[in-house]
Amino acid sequence: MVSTTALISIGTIIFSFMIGILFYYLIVSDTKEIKKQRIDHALSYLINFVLFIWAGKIILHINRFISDPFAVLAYPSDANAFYIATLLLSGTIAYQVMRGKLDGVSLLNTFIPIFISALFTYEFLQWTVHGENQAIIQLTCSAVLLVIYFLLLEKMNVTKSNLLTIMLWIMVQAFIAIRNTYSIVFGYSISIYFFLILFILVFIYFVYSIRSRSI
Amino acid sequence: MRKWIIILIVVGLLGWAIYDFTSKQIAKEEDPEVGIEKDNSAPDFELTTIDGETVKLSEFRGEKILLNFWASWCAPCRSEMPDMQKFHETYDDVVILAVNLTETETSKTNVTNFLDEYEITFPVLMDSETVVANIYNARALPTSYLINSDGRIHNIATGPLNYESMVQEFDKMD
Repeated sequence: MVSTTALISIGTIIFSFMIGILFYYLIVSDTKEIKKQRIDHALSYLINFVLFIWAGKIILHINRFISDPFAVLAYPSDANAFYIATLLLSGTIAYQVMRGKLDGVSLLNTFIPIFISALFTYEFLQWTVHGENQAIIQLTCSAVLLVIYFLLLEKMNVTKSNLLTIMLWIMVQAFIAIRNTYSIVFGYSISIYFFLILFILVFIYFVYSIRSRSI
Repeated sequence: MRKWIIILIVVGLLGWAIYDFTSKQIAKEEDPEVGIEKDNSAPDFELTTIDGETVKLSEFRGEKILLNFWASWCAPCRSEMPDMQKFHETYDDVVILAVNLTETETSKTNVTNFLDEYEITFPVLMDSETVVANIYNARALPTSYLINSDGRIHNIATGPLNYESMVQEFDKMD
């Protein structure tokens, strides 16, 4: 049976990322071919992430999946499936970067502007279309983040401003997660531990990049 | 130049959302009409539980309610029931009323077997003539109405909810 609420939620996320891609296309000054190539790349990883979420959902309910597969497939994925998908995608990306098959910095520089503008669009839709009162906090945060992102772009190179923006976003989400025991990202209740680990990883990469003068 | 136009759009949209937020807060003060839309007052009803007790929705005024319409043959209902039971065990300040569409069941034994299998302890109401399900327009199963403590409908979910979304929704409720 088709779940209307789930479909609306998926539709909102897809639309948000479409706006995110449009935003990236408008703000980046590379040639059309390069932009298209990078968007294609980012899109394929986003699709992989969605597939990994489904895989995560099945892994988490493997016993029930064997006896009642439709019940598991109909079940909306939760934060645990999101963590598994993040782990699987990070592993895939790390493997490809180490084998020299992927330019990780280029992917990062494509993904972050798409992500923050998709966040803003998602929260805006949550507020205006779905009437979610709580979205006003996240909407304000993502709007401020977008403005800061532009201001940083004026002052420093793209990779540095992307890393600083994403670190700022993680800090804000961590603060919300401490206050509410979780922070909602695209409908998933993400725990403080996820943000802490993510922040440490991004921060280490940021310091390493500065020291090696790669940014 | 293009960047400044985007900043202007972002700030403009945020400003509009904040304006909308304040006007919605004022509009909410009014008395809601009875209906099945968001912010309407949830229609009252009386049903008998599977144990034979009579339950009236208005008796729970003052408590947050999860009014769920389900049937034992529906796969998404099977997927959300364990989470609903977990939610019931964790949040004792929330009332769960699970309305079974009894007319669509092949036998009452299916319902009792289902409740035993998932060890359900919250009240299960038998809508034997599908009257309440029709009032609430519960055509797709499961359908859940999240009702605030003042009897106002906070949200409507068509399709299964997981534990996480139940917590999210109830944290937002008054």
